[in-house]
Amino acid sequence: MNPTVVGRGAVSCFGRGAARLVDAVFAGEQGLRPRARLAKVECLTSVAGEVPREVVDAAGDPTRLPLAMAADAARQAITEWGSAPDRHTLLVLATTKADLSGIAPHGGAGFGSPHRLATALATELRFPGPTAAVSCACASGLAALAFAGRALRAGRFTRALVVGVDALHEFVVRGFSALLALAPGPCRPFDRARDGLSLGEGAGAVLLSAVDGEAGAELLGWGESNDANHITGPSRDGTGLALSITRALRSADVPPDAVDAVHLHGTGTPFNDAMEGRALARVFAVPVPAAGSKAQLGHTLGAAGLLESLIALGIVERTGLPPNLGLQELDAECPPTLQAAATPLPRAERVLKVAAGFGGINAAVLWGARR
Amino acid sequence: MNRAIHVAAACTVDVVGVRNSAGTTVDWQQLDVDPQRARIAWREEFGGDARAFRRLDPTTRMVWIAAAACGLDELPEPLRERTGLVLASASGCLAADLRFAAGLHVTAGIEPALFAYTLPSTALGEVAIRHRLRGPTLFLSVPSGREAAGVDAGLDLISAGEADAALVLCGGWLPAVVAEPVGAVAETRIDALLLRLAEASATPTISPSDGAALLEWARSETAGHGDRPADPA
Repeated sequence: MNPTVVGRGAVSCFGRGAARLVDAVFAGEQGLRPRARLAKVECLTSVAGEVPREVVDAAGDPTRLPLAMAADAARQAITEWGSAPDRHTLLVLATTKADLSGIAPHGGAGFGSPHRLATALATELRFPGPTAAVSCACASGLAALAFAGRALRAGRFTRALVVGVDALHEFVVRGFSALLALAPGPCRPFDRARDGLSLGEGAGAVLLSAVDGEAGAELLGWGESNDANHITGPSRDGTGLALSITRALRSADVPPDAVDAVHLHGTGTPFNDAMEGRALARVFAVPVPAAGSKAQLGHTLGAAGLLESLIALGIVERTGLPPNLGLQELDAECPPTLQAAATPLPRAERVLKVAAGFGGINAAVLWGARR
Repeated sequence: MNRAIHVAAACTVDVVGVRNSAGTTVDWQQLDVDPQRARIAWREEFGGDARAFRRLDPTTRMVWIAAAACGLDELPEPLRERTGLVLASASGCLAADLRFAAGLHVTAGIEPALFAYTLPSTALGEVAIRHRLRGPTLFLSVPSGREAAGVDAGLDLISAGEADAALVLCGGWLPAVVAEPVGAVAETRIDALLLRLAEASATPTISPSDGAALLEWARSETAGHGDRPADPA
């Protein structure tokens, strides 16, 4: 049987809760706002998708934010499920930079180490099962879902709590700024005039179950690949991401025409968005309806795969696509089905979520309706 | 899915040098470098293109050398499409993180090219480019001493049919001179295994039981033939 989703949680620029996140995205709310906590950081953008200070109490210390957000999202997922995880439940953490204490000018010994953060999260949650910490650049969240799905399919665990988290920090913001990757204002993925990405932060959690009788939306399959092409840029022809998608469909044992919609990575950089158009064209003979959400959330890095999977599940449940904020004139190289406004779908039984990251890493996850 | 897997090659990169299961041994004195300070030079037998090698950060250089020492240059072209990469490390990219962070508060101190290396998976991306590997790519952050989780992950990728081969790298490169000033634990060893799906006609070198046993076997395989224990089959 396929793993089913029995719990969800989110902390995002829209506040607490997976429902709040999905409602806000479908309503077209803008979560990218003038930088507040990061106002003094010198960089090439005026906005960010910061989690409002009143949402998560990290005592003003940015290095405490990752644990606070991850624990909050995880607890929401556990609460929705309604029971306590046992030692047969695996905790998988996805993050790119974890807790940067000990590196940046703050005390502590986080050292940007995912496993240290995963251990801290397990302690915070009094989690009795084993932990794993995955870091695969901006594909971390989907890679963590694949890791958990693999473990569940192999029968080694009965459930898996997958949490993705990253907090905005001067280290990250100035790094992307130095690469000239940031849009000056809110990013505009897929638009002809797009000029870079916007950064965001948050945590997303999904509790997966492989227990008979625990019904929910299904994790149908996953696929991963490497471009083997460039460290910071995607392959121009989209073959790497297309390979991931093809592998995800094979993992789910469904043909391309069984996919009803795609939730895109859509960073807003010229190369990424065009690459996604080419990748989809390689796999789908008929263009498939698509949308992305980073124009509202920002790029939440290690949290993106989880937060945006929650949106993909929202597409399944609402039988419709959220808007593509900031899209005024669709770039001819991007997926042709993208619409500026939210659009209903004739069917949303299977929705694909894709991601791509530095190091040429690609991942795709196929979500299915509750059975 | 039950698929027979064998270890095609193993190597160790540590403070002594580079040793692999094919019998190649190169020590750092021969290379005229100081591994404790993470000054790692280019050598034809491990580095490939010198210009590409020189732009790498020290940790990535060690991973690159380990990949080459496992014989990835000889991997059949069709297999590269389905060869995965796994790195299980406690230190990850901490050395690059510290160097990048040091530049944040110095005028013109930021090194844009270094930013990509502040992701622990980037070292694997460099190996993928170098050897044209297009399988799944996974970085696992592990506590020191738990690197065998990477071997388990590599076995899982092949067992699940998601890859037909996997290069698994266990360990990292964070010399004491970098680690101690910030209170981190140094890590100066990478053990690597090239796992392959056994062809129907091939006799598996070993039957993998679990990652920890395989990693121990690989370490003994590269330690010298005299003290090699029995296969863990």
